[in-house]
Amino acid sequence: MTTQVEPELGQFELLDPKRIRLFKHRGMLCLETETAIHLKVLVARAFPLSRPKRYVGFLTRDNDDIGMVRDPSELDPKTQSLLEEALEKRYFAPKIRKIEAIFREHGNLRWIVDTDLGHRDFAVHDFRENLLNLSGQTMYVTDVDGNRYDIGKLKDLDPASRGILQRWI
Amino acid sequence: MRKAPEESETELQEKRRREITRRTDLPDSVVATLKDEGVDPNELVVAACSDVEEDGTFGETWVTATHTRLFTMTPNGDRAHILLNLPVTRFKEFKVEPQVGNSILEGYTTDGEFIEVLRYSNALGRQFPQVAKHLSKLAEGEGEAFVPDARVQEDICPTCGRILQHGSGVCPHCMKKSKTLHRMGSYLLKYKWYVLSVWSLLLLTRATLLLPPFITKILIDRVLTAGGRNLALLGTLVFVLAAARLAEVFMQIVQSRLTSIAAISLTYDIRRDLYSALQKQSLSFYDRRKVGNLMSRVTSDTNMLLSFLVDGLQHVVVHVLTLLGIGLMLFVINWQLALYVLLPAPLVVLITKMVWKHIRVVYFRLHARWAHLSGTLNDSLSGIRVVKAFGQEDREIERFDDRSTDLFVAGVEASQLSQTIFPLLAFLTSSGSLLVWWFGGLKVMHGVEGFTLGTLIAFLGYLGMFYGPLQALTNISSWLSRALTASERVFEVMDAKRDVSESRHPKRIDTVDGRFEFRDVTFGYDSNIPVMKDVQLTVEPGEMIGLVGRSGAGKSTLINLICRFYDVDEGAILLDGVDLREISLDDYRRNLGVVLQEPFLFSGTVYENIVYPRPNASLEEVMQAARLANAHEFIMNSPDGYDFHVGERGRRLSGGERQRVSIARAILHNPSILILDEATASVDTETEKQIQEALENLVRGRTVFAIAHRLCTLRNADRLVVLDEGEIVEMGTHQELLRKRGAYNKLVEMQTAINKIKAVA
Repeated sequence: MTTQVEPELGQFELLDPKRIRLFKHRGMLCLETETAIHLKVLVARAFPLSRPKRYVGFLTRDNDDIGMVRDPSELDPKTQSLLEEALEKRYFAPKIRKIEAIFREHGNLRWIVDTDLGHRDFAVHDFRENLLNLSGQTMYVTDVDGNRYDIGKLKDLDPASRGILQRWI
Repeated sequence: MRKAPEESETELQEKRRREITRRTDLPDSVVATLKDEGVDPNELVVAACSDVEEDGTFGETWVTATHTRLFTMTPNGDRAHILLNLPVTRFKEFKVEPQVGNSILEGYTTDGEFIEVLRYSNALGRQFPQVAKHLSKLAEGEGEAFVPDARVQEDICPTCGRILQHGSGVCPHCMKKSKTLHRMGSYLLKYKWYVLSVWSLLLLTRATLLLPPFITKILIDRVLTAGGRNLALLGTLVFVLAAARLAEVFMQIVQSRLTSIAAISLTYDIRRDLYSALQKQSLSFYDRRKVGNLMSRVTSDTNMLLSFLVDGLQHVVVHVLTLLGIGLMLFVINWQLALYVLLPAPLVVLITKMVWKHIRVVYFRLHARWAHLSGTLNDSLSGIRVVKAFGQEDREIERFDDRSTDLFVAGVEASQLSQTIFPLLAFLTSSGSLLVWWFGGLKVMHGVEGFTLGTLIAFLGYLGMFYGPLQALTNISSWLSRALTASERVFEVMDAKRDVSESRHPKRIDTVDGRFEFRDVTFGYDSNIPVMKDVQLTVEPGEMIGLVGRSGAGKSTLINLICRFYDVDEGAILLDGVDLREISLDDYRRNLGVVLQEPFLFSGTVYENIVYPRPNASLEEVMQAARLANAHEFIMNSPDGYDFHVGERGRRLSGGERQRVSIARAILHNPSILILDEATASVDTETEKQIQEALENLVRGRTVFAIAHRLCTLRNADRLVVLDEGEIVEMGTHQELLRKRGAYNKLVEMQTAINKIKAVA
């Protein structure tokens, strides 16, 4: 018979931002921790939509977990800029500045928008499924090709764009 | 307190016995026969009556027993015919043997003989198992006075015995209409100002309707037929007509707008009350009812209730008032003509009633066929893979065609009937106006004093408004009773007694050790067919118990009892020495975690799903739980990390991923007691390994009850409990049980054989 052990969640282990660093080696992003050097690491946000600035995780090329830092701003500046670059590549989502039109076409919703990365014209299939609305805050929409657009908060849109969007949500 | 306690004790028993003779209404012939046999009917301990005779015809067969003798007899004139007369001591136990359409109560004697006591039809299927139980106790020498309860059946009204509409639980015959109306009214009370203003507006609208025919009268008499050109009066009258119409339209708009506000708020109130009642119901409530049935209560029944509260009551009020108002006007204008009008009125009421009865049947059939058709459609479309796999498309088309034809026939019939009957009815209704034209015309032609052409036209104008409400009101009773039944069904759900309810003085607990003790636990979903029989088991804190057995052996039932989805019928389950039923449900469930066979995730993000049991957990705690559940990596790999939206029921995750998210959820919940239900079903070996690891993290330090069909997954269990037919047949570790070469060994061998077959295939 087992003796009783109090069930415990335990502490969530984090990487110490002062003891790790990122560097580039032959085009690969590498992570040096206290115990090892990992080549070609993958960076990922734990909460890319709700808390993009906090909790960044590092994974090996085989998708094994290396660890996570709570606040990337505590990293040394060089590591920070490498991290920014990698994250920017991983999370590609043009930010919609202005919605010019949304209308129904062949059962899809056609969006004509102006983003911070340029003018876009895309179709969204099954609108309800593809509009991510994180507890009424930031909204994302995914088009038929799987591209993602950041709509931002409804209240931050200009009145005309908000008017157009509100006809559909 | 004059009597000694022993005396009052015997008195009590005496009283209970007399109760038996009173409650069962033993027929005189049985009483007489018992007396002939030297038995005092007051000595009886068990008495029950079956509805089938020995030869299988319907009739009465009585089984009665004292502490010493058992009789069965059929009443026959002033004496009963004795079928059995045996000493109770001859029997070891009594059992019911279910047959088809009826059952047999059998006695098993001490020398191994079976004696058929009596037969009974399924209508008494709930009583006789209890009778058997009490007779058995009697045979053991400890029986208590027992009389089966009157028919307790779901679909029979307990008051009047009528059979209820399926799944309703409400007897339209017995329900207290005034009480229901009162309760419906209480919903309206919240919006009383809306209701009052709507009703008064309605009244005003109706009043303005009385005006135009009156104006017409003046128009004809003073302007059109009076000669001369009274332009001023014509202008004034047309203006008044226009104003009246405008006022009417305006009031109608305001009234409709107010009505819809009240209606929408009311729907909201009623749905919310109903839904929260549904959420708080115990599981057994859901066992007895179909989900579809419940959904229809939330949707269509609340709509019905609503249409009654909002439109119905209004219409009744309006129609009654209109009838009174117009009737009055008719009599004021000319009472003789008014009598002619009323002449066809009874006929109109009568015929409308008759016609509706017929039309309702036709339309009922139409609806039934519609339902049948859509059922067929649903069936074949959701089973389309099977249809295609067996190449049965043509047959399905044919089947659909048949239903379609049925619907077509019913549809044609219904429309033909209504297209014929309604114009005829309209004619009948207007026949009153023919009488008025004739007799009124005569009066005008003869120049009767005060009866001008204008009077006649005004009269006809009022008449036109008279029959409509009359017809509407003829249907009010059937419509009212439907609305009442619907609302009663809604209230029934709100009021249904909860089987598993909080004890009166719930014991608050904070944390628990997790020591379980099952004392003679007996339980059945149908309280007469036990699924758990006298289960005895003690589980130490932190112990992992694996529940093993064939399907239907009672594993899930045991889990249901531990979760307290149901309460035990007999015996008790004790947690740290306290009866589960006395512990506050909230506190208990807080200490209990469940990982189900088919993990259910809610539509939302991964984070929201893990944090579900502890909304105030920190982000790091959530991620820690995910790490322990081997879920962190795949979550970090998904595009949205913990913000990943899992979709409805979590369908955007794979089975293994769902499983691990649900394990993370359980880890975060951090319960002292954990239920695992076949957690590694239907995943590949690699995923299974990861889930196993996750589970090992999860079970550490907790009291665990785990079910798994695949026995190898239970190797870590401290003890295995082998169940069969609701009883514990073996207990011990994997190795011990293997050595025992009993039921467990057999299960293992069977599984090995199956695995071999699988490997070959």
